[in-house]
Amino acid sequence: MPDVIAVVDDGHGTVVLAVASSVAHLVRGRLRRLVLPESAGRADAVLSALDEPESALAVLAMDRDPAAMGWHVMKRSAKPLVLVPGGVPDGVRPIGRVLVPLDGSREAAHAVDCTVELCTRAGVDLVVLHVFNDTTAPPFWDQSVHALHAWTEEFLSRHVMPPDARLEVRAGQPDHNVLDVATTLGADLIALGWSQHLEKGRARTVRRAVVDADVPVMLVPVPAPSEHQGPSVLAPAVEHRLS
Amino acid sequence: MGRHDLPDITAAAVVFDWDGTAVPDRHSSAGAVRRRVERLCSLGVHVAVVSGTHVQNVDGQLRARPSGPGRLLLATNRGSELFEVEPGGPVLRERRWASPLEDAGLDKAAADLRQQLSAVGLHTDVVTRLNRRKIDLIPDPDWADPPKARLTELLVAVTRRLADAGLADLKDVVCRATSAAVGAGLADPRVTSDAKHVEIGLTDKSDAMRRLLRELWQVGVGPGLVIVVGDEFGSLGGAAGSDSFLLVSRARRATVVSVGAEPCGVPPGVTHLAGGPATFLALLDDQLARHRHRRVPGVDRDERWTITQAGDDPVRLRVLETLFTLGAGGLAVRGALDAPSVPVLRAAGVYHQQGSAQRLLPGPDWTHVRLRPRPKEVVQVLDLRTGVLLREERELADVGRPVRSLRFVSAARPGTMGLRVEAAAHRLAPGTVFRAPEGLPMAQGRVGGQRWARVASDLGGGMGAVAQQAVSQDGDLRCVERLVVVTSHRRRQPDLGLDAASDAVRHGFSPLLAAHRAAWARRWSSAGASLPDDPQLERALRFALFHLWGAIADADELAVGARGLSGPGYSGHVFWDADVFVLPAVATIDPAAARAMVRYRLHRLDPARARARAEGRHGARFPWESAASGDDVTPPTVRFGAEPTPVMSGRQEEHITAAVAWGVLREAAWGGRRLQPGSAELALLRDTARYWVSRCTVDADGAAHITGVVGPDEYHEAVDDNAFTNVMARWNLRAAAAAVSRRAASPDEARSWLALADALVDGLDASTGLYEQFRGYHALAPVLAADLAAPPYAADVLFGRQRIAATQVIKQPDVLMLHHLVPDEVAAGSLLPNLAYYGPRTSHGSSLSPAIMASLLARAGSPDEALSFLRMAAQIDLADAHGMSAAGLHLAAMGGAWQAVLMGFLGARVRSGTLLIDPVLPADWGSFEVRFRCLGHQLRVRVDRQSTEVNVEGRLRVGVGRRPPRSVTGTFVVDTTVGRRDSSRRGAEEAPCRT
Repeated sequence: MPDVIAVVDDGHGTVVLAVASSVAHLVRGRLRRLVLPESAGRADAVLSALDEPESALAVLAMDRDPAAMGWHVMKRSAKPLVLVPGGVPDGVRPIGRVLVPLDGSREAAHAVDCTVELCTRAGVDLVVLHVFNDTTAPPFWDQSVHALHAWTEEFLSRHVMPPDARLEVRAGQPDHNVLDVATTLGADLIALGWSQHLEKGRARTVRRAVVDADVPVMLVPVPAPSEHQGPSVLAPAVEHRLS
Repeated sequence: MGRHDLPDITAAAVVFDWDGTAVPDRHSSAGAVRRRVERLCSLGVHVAVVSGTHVQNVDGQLRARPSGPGRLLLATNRGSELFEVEPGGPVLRERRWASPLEDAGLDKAAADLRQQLSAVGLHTDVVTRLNRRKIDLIPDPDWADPPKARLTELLVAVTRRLADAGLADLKDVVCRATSAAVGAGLADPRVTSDAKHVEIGLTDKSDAMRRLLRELWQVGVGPGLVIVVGDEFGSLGGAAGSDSFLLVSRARRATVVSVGAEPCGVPPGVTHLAGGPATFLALLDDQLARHRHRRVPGVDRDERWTITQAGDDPVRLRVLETLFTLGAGGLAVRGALDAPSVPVLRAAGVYHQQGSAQRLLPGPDWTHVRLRPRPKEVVQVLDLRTGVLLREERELADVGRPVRSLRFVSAARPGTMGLRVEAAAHRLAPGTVFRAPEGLPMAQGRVGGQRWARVASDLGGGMGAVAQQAVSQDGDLRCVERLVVVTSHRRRQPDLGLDAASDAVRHGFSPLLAAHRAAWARRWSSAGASLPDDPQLERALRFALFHLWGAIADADELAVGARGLSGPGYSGHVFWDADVFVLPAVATIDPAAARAMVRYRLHRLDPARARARAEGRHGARFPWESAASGDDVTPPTVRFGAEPTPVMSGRQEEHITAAVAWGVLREAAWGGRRLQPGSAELALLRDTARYWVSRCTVDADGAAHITGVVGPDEYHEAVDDNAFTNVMARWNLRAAAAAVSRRAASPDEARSWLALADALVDGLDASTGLYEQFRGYHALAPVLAADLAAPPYAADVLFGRQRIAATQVIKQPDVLMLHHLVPDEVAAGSLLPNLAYYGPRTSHGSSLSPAIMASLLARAGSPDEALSFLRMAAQIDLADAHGMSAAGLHLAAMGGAWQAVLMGFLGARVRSGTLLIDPVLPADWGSFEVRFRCLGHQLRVRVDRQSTEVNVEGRLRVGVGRRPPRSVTGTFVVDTTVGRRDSSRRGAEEAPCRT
């Protein structure tokens, strides 16, 4: 049984514990508390706990302050994290619906494979969100209903989503749309794959979600996209073009 | 030598040398060859003999009288004659006759050579044959007629004789013969040697081979399906072996085998088996065994004609299912592997369910066989030339013999389909023939030795299938063969094709495949494009034509959905794509199918009338999306974002009504048909005109308007006086007034149509030639497409409908579509200003857009820019950059691409029973050739920088460029270089133009 580590300190202990409890239920894991030291080395303590073989993921509070421990852990953790933004209400809330934003890359889809599988097994409602941008929007969109149907079916198929997964598509800023859709659809968790780069101009959706979402955000580290793959799983890889 | 030494190919044709290869000498019995040749022909394998001797020698010895379907050809007299053996014996198909001058040249060359050799003490004799002279280098009774078995011995004797005369070798004599021939004035002498003779001729076996390959090509057999067998491919005493002339460049994909002694070895690419006629017989036996064991045939891997996909990327699987769809006769089978993602079988016009959910009924899946483990590292080859799909697993150590399969959907016998699969016996189980499409009940059973299955539509129609499955074993290989006959009916349960299935079984897989290949070859000889400088585009255009053919049929009626029969996308719904994009293309490749498309609309005139009535209008209004009944099946809302939004196309894209009328007249014009009084076509023209009368409003100034519509640019909804809609309505009114007889409409009514047409506003600014796309368009935010993103892009998806609707960015040609469809209805000279204005405002967010732009740009004198758009259009499914090809092929883009070639680059138009062409060439093309049907005639047009060559079967009035049209037949050439006069050649027959 995998361990779900609830990282608690004075400020957010209750909320984190409640979220960790829900996550542990989802992954059929064992809840373990990690009380942080007050001194320096808090991030190292979390990473060290995650390094343990039985640790599956950690749940910790997130803070807008860039110097906060959560940002350090995010960048360095090889295992998934569930970050609890400040706006998440107190109290245990079972995870009944998970929002999985996918940017169309194979890597992002692969990153959330496990999450998807867990959700399916747990009977959790899975909502996939794709926000079109100028690299992923299809060049041709003939008849809106039929095109949407065809595109949706293909997107879900290529990401090997379960048959009952639902796709929401939006256009515009991904960060805004992720939060908006999570709220509108009443998601209990947002699951995001990310490349662990927080440099300026990158991971905008992740940065926004982990502080502004009103639900917990699961981050799953992913490798950088393959050069051959192109920006979208819907775009054929170079080596697979027809000859 | 065992079977494993023989070539691993199940060939469609065998070409072989006679003397020394098939028989030891000219006196031996050829009974063993005869039996095998006749048997191969009965299986649909074509057989050809190549010989230096005359036909009496070969036929007298072979005496084969095959009854087909494979052909037996005799290419005799060293490439100068071609005979085809019919039941009564050989019939001359072609003979090369030497001119008196050439005959004299041959005599002189032979005499000169003989004199030269005599001067060095070598006595020779000269033998005269058709188109050649044989100089006998060893006129010794002991060597009068040496069998091929003594070739090495003969070569030694001749070489010794030459050496005694101070000559180096045979090659030395061949060189002297060549010099003598050139000296005698022969322009292209062919000098060969079989060791005993040196022959100076006008033809050689290379001519025979080229001719045979041409014959085989015409029945769908490319060089890669041919086995060539000879005994003298290697050199003889330094001179080229006589069979080496069979190795012409066009035969480079053929499998070449030598059964001769080949004392000097064989050239690269030739497999040396030795063994003489015995080996040859073994090779024929192996071919027969392959057919008997139901081995998987090969394909000719000509990269200009094949689409090859290596690898098994799961992401691409569904796309490949679509791309590798095979169709004929209104039935199509997706190219699914063993686990199809969506149903594989569909029939044109057979729908299921109601309303906007109505979709094509999936039929029984007959393609599944059980393979364990499943194939890995599969290479798939779609042969566009012959309409077959081949799959081959790469040879892997752990699974034994690789899996191979081939399937076809017969173009020769609509409804008949075939599949062969071979694999290591332990991996392949034939399993159940039929699988039900997901979510639908399927009845099935057995009749005699055949299995049947049916799937029923809740609308009353259905699909049925009957299959005969056979399993055989060839060593450690198991082979499964299925012959299936599929039937369908849109209103009732179809009869099972039991008789057709029995007939198919009686014919057998190989003959059916041979007939199918030949049918495809006939198609390609009637329509297609050759772009010598642009092979990638050439293949993409072939891919487009291939799938257009696959989606059509000469039937009672033909519903062509937006994605054809290749996938579930667009539910098989019929849009204006069919009338405006697909139909004009189909009219040039299969006029009968184009008529069937028109009949689909004619049969739905009553529902169109009912809709008009229901909306308080007159006449007939056709639906934006149509399926079984002709009622509108457009989905009412789309949910892109949080809330569903209404889809306006079903309510407001009224231009479809004029597009249907346009399609009817277009088919008639290209088919050269006059619409008969009382015909349904004229009724449709009349009723669509009446619709526009009731739809227009006339203001106080007498100007007529159409308000609240959506034009082809779907980014702007509920607009007034959309130029496209208004001008198409105007065209519709005028066309009806011109065509409809007095019995169908009164003269007063026809006059009222003309008056209304004149009153319809069209947004034209006469001072600039610019049309305003709709009232108020010019006042929108002046945003160009490139200001937002790099076209092509779906602007509505990317930026939202509301934002785009406030700008001048449009989805696809709207005003410009008028210049494509009804150029006579727009102001003269208005193409250029409208292209300049609307081109930069077009995002090309519709797959219909690039092809039309290509056509218009070509007409506007910008062929290079046109070519970029044509490439884009032709790649829409092959590249699948939009990620939606898995749902089906974009047939309108394919039809549009073919239109861009014919109507754009060739500039083809039909006016008053005359074909007008006005070609343009982009810089990247030195020339291009197109073949198509028009006005009941078959045409071939070749265009290069100097001239345009037109070949017409029959007599047709044709105009080229600005020259006046004239009645022509055969081939004629027009010098299209500016300032030069016309010329004609090759028996061109031109008659003066009659006005």
